[in-house]
Amino acid sequence: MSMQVILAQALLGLNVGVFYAMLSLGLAVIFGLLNIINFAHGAMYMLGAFIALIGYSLLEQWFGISLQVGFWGSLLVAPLLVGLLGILIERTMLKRLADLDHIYGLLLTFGITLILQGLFANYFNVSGTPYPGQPESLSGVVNLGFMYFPTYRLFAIVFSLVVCFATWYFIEHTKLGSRLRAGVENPNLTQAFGLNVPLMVTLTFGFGAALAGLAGVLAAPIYSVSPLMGADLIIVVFAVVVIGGMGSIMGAILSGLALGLIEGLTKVFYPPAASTVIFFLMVLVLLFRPAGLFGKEK
Amino acid sequence: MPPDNKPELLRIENLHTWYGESHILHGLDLVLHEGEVITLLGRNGSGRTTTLKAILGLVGKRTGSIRLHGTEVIDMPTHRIAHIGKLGYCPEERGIFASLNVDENLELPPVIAPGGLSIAEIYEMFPNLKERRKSQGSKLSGGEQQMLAIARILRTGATLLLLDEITEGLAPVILKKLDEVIRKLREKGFTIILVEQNFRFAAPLADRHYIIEHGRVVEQIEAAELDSKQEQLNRHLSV
Repeated sequence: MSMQVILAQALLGLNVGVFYAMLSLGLAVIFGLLNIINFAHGAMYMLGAFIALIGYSLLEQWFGISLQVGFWGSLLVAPLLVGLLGILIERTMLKRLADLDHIYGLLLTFGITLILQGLFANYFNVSGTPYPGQPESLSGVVNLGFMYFPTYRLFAIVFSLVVCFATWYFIEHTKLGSRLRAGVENPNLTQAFGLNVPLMVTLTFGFGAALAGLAGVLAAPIYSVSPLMGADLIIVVFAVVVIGGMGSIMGAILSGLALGLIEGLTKVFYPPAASTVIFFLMVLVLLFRPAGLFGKEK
Repeated sequence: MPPDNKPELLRIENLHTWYGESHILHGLDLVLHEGEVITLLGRNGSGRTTTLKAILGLVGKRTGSIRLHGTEVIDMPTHRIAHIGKLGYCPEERGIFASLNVDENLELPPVIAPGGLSIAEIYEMFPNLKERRKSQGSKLSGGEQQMLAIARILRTGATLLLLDEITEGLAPVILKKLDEVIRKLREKGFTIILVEQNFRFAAPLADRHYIIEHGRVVEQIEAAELDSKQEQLNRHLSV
């Protein structure tokens, strides 16, 4: 087996990994700061991709508006819309469950997922619609020296990494981030200092949802846009979060990247295990480090 | 005597509070003028800590009236009360954020009014905190945590400080430092409510003492009356 094949699969794995990282990051932010297990995260990702698709090719057909929102526009609009939906869901529904056990939030978001999936499955092909809006500037391939790699995929990797590490920096190293962390650790005292914790919670949920929407737009040109694209991914992403450690920001990013790589390399060395290797690792982590690789025991 | 010419900062009337089913405060009344230092004395469970929490809206349910600078805050959300009352709260458990370092803890509470101490002034008052600027909150000693819990509310421009059991479990050398700090704050014109178990610490610092029993004020003693009312005091505070 040549080095080239391994490197190629590693890069493709990394490409999957950045999506894991971005989605598990959103989940970790929401869980860490809000204590909500957001099952609807996959649906938010799907929604992001569909907003890109609809914006590019269906606005005129559906609404009679002669407007086309291109890829770059979607990269801005989709997270915004998905974030707003997240804020709406938090304000009107999740807020009421704040004092109850995790399981209620999980069930609610699971229900939302089924509704969103059902809604889109009614209008779109479940087996997927290709997104035609990949920008000209990102088409073609780049010569990386050891291989030719699709320009768009390279862009997706770099862009996601920037977003992930910017989010980490924001939460761990800025003043607003330290207020968020304080709000998680001791919401009562943080409010007694005059900080509006409920507002911070709502905005954080919106931000987490927006991250999923952003990942959806990035995924649209690579994978076909389908009502079930989120459902397929979310289970793996939950495994990533468990391995990284619930609530750990850096843990979610690094384990997302690492597990994408491992999955990619498993495709080279033992293809039949590629789709299960992550769950195998999850079992091992749960057995030997139940709080996850980067999580703190409570 | 209460300085009548000074404006009223806080007026509590007929305050009742509940945590779930349990009724904690039963019609508490209290008035506080600018620049005064008062103590809330009483046995464990009498409702002193709950009084502070009720002012901040941190109890389950509250009725009656709490006016800060003349504004009724009984129905307001907690995060607004701090701004209206220019409150600085130091909770009994100190509430140092373990995930933040000393600097981050200091800078966490938002500025709610102009005129707060600068970081330099704070570090001058608490030199040992300066040496530990980058230490995580969880790595500090009890005394350092207490200093930090007080220091961080001085930066915000708060003028009414609610200090809950600041001497609890601390060594005499730290008590001496705290005594010095409270005196300095008094000189600077801060208004302070001290919830104290340690009467010997609180007695020389306060203008007035409120004795709280079963969720209401049963005795109010001016600093000048301390000697003549020693007997009532002992009766209420002895276990």
